[in-house]
Amino acid sequence: MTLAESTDQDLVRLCRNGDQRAARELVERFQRPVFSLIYRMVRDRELSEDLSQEAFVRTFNNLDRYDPSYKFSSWLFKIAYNLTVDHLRKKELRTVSIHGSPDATSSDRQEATSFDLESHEDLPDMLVESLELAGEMEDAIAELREEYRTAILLRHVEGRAYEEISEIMDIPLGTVKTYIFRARRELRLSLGHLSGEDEE
Amino acid sequence: MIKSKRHLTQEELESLSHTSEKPLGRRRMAHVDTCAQCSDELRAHRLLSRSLEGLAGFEPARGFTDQVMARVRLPAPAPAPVPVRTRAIQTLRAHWLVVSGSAAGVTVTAGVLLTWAARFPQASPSGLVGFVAERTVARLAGAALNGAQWLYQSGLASAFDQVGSQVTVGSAVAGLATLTLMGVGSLSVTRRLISEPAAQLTHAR
Repeated sequence: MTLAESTDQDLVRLCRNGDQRAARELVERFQRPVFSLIYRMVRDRELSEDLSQEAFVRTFNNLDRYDPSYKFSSWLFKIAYNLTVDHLRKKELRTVSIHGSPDATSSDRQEATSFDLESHEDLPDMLVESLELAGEMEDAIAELREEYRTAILLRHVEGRAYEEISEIMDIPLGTVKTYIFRARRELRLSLGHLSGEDEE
Repeated sequence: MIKSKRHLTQEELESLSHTSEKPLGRRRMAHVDTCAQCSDELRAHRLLSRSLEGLAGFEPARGFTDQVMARVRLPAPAPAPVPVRTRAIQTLRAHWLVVSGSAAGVTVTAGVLLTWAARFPQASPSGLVGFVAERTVARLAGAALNGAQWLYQSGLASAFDQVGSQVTVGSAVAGLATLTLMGVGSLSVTRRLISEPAAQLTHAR
């Protein structure tokens, strides 16, 4: 069986025996979802890369503390989430916009913290519409409270179960459901015009 | 079929709108089919879920994996398991080392002691060396005694006469101490040789 075909748990076992290739495979497997989650939280590519990198390094350097009865990805997301929340709380970056962080003090910083969406030039109308919808969606997500944003992203973008989200965010299951319900309600309010609904 | 009159809860709506969740029971679904309010709610929920699930992921910059790996400190790789055959050879070699080392130690010690005993047949040696030389080794190893006497007669021992009995006794004691140290050292090495392959096998498991 190749490393690409191995389960996360098998790769973790190999990592515990010092297998660098297994660690590399895990990084490549999870770098996109971890980076995406962090990027949607902090809206700064450079910072997101630093935080993602730190999350992976902490995960691997503390493998002896990992309990294999839990999913590896949940543990990794938990570390990534805690790091990001710690950073946000220090910086008090609670709400950010697709057009850049409100804390950006210069145009360069504004650009650095805005979403890197493709140019609309030379694209078919449907795709432009889709990109606009995605842009509005990203903006609406960015306006959510940090806890709601994490819960809804883990649930709908990463496809995590309620129980996993509860483990990652270290909150009760009922609170996860409440966060997701409120996040959905706020998103529907923000995006009501796209679905032809009136705002509540 | 009896349909449920109760509207869908937020949790049910969320569950139904999520592609990976199991559908609700038939009674609840029958309610959705006939209730305009629940049907509209479900449509809106599904639209939102699809939009969220359709969001593209973001990629970190190239070289991200290398940067992470440069900072990762994994445990040292476990030693390769020692094949059973290799271990058997190592163990056999270790046993031979014990036997041959012990035999060599006994022979040399006996030779030195016998030489000394033959050189000073009237002496009344005190302590363990004297006891071993006089009571045990000298009596059991007749052949070795002959050899020692031959050594004495061959003129090698006459050299001792020139140096004096004090020096001879001192040399014998020093020789015995050296041999004892060598014996202890070889035993320690032998024990390591025997125990290490077993430890490696245990670790690999």
